[in-house]
Amino acid sequence: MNNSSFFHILPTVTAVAMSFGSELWSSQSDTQTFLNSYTNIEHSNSKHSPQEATSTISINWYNASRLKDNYLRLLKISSLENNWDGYGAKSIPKIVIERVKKLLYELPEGAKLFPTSRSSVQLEYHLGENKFFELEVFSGSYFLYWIDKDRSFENRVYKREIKQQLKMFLS
Amino acid sequence: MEDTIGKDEFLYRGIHEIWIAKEDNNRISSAAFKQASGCSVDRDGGRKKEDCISRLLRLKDFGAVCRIVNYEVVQSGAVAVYCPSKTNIYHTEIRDSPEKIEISSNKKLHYLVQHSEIVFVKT
Repeated sequence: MNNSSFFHILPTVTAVAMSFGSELWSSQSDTQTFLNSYTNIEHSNSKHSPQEATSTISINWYNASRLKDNYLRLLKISSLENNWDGYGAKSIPKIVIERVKKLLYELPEGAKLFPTSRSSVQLEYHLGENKFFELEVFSGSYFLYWIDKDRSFENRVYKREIKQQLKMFLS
Repeated sequence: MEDTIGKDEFLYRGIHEIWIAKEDNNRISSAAFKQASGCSVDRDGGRKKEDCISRLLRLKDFGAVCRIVNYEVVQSGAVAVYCPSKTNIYHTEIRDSPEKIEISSNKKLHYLVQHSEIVFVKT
C-alpha cells in the first residue's frame, strides 16, 4: 500500500482500532502499538485481492473484524488459570500470548486458536480432513505441522519460515 | 484390575470446551491431546460407558468427553500405560512410546484424534 492510500483510509483504521482496541488494552501505548502494527497487514490475501474487493476500506473492515474475533479468543486463552484443563495444566505464559498476537497481524485471516496443556497455543487452518496447517507457538520456539493429501511437513521452524511454509501448503 | 490394558479396553479423556471447534461440526483439535506429562486418560477398567463419563464430569465441567479403544492407540504407535494414583485408580497415560512420555509426533496425535469418538457433549 502506498502512502497516499494509507492516509486515505487512516480515519477508518483509527476508528476500527479504537472501537475494539479499547476493549483489549487499557493503556494508550498498547492501543498505539496495535494501530502501528495494523498498518503492516498485507492486502495480497488471495481471497480478498483488490480485484475482488469493492474498496480498500472494506478489506480493512473485514480483517479488523476477524482480528477482533481472534483477539477476544486470545484474551480468553490468556485468562485460563492453573488446572484449566482438569489435568493440571498451567496457565498459558504471557510471552506465548504476545507471540501469537504478533503472528495474527502477519498471517492470513481464518486461523483458529487453541491452547494446549503444554503451555503453548496452536494456530490452525483446517481446510479438510487431509488438508490442514497447524502452528504450535511455544515461549521459545515454533513447531509446524501441515498436510495436503500426500504432501506434508513436520518440524521446528524459525518465524521467518512460517509464511514460506504457508505458501507451500497453499500451492 | 489388571495392570495390562486390553486392546479392546476404552480410554476416556475429558475435553475442555475451548478445544472444540463448534463451527467445524464439533471437531476436536489435536491440541486436546498435547500434554507434556503424557496424555492423561481414564481406562474403563470394566465399567460401563455412562459410569466412565459421569466420573469425569464429577471432577470437572468438561465441554465433552471422548474415548478411544486401546487397539487404536497401539495402531498409532503410541502406548497406554496404567498409572493409578491415590485419587484416581483408573488413571492412565497415553505416551509416545515405552521410552518416551510426551507425544511429540503430530502424526500420532492426529491419528488419536481421528480415531476418538465423542461420547458426551455438554448441551
